[in-house]
Amino acid sequence: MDNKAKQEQATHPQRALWMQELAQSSLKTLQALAATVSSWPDYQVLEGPAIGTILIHGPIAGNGGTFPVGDCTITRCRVQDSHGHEGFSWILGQQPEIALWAARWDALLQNPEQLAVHWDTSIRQLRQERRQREQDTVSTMQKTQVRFFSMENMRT
Amino acid sequence: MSYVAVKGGAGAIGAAHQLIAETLYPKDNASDTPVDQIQQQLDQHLRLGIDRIMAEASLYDRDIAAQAFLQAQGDSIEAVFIVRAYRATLSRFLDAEPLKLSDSQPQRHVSAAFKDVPGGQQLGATYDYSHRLLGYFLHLPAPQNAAEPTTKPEDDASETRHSGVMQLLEQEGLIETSTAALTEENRDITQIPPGFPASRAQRLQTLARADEGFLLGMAYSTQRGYGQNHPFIAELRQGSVNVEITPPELGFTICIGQISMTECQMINQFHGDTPEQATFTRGYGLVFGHNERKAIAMALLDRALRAPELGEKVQAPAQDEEFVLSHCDNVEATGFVEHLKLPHHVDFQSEIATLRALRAHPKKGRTEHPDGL
Repeated sequence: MDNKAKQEQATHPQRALWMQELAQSSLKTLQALAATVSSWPDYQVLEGPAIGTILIHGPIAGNGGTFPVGDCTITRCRVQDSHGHEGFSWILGQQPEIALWAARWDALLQNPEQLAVHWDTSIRQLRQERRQREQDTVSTMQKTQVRFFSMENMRT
Repeated sequence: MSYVAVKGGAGAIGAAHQLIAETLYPKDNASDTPVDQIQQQLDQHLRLGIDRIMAEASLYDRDIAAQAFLQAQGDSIEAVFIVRAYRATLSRFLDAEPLKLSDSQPQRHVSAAFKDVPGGQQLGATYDYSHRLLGYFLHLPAPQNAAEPTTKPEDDASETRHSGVMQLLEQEGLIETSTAALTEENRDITQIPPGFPASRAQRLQTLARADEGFLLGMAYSTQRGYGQNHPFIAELRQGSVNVEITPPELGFTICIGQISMTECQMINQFHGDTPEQATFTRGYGLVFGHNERKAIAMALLDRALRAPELGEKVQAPAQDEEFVLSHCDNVEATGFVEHLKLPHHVDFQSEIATLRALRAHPKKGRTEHPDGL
């Protein structure tokens, strides 16, 4: 991590978390959350939303190395709001609308006052909902956990 | 002999394409279902077909794969071709961080080698134990005792996920610790074509995007004796894996979502210069989506193709990397095989002219064959 990144981490320690939650939200959720912001600052789109790819690397088990498995589509966007905050977003798939909203949110939350208001009501809410969805899947799948008995066990 | 271009036929070609368009988007569509809804239904009902297209096209995007599947009327190789062509129009923004599969949320996790695999055996959604009867899933009886997990999940699931079967074998020194160079080239084969001998990374990338049917056939050949293999599946895992990127503009890492992956870790026969040094060897498979057949076949082939590295004699087709890697790509293969449909009139005319000339002027001194040749 270079100096600029360290500085950014120090200024906005929660930024990686909010970017993660915004990236994984649906358009519907983001639009509903947007309505909770009392006044959105004006913004200017600096780049995108543009669709491209990222290259996914997988591990080579037991070797420590990696290999390229393939690409994955991604949408990125960069905006600047009237307070001078630059907002970024990287969203999996082809999602220009989500990317634009997520970048605007990223810029908005760099404003400490807005972060104070929206961290609990929006971001933590998103995090909780996502974790719940994940837990639901885990619980459903755990119904298929199995203990096989081999013949050896049956003899004992 | 090279292909000689032909001209003309624009009208007929246009009409031929029109026929496809009318099949895809009929004007008197009784069901009136919008195309994007059909695509969503495809993704929902034909998930494994979509997964296969994403893996072979080497592009993870369910919407694009579904769109291509529909456009190709269910011809998966045609769909892969369309997705590959589309992918070539996109610029690559950056490389993602290597996937951390040990942190994945497995929906399915089975081991054929150990019944008490760390984390428990979890069948997930599988056809493995079903009768292959038409309509089998329509009238399933309610499962018995399935309301609660038969094995309670560990309290600290993240802790257990880290230690797998291979780690247990590693601790006991029973599985090879690969010395193969970390410095081996990990260059994207779609940017820099690999030469021979290829690095393991290049082989794995080629196999990950290879035709599932080809890998299956080659892997089957190793089991039937064409190449040494005596495999056990140590772990077969399918589930969602986090995608993390470190954009240079930020300098720190963010997780932007999950993709579905299938991983197969295979244990294979012993290897070692002395009995004391003998260890199991590894084969590895990792593919996009839920593709167990392909992940297993890939692991078998990965192991077979490591023959030179492990000092084995290359005797079977599946051990010959030039044979396997040069013929496993279905877009390349279909291009060359199916181009035979295109007009070869000039080429054939030259052949026929040569044959006629041969028959008209038999070489002096040769007894003429009764049928003229």
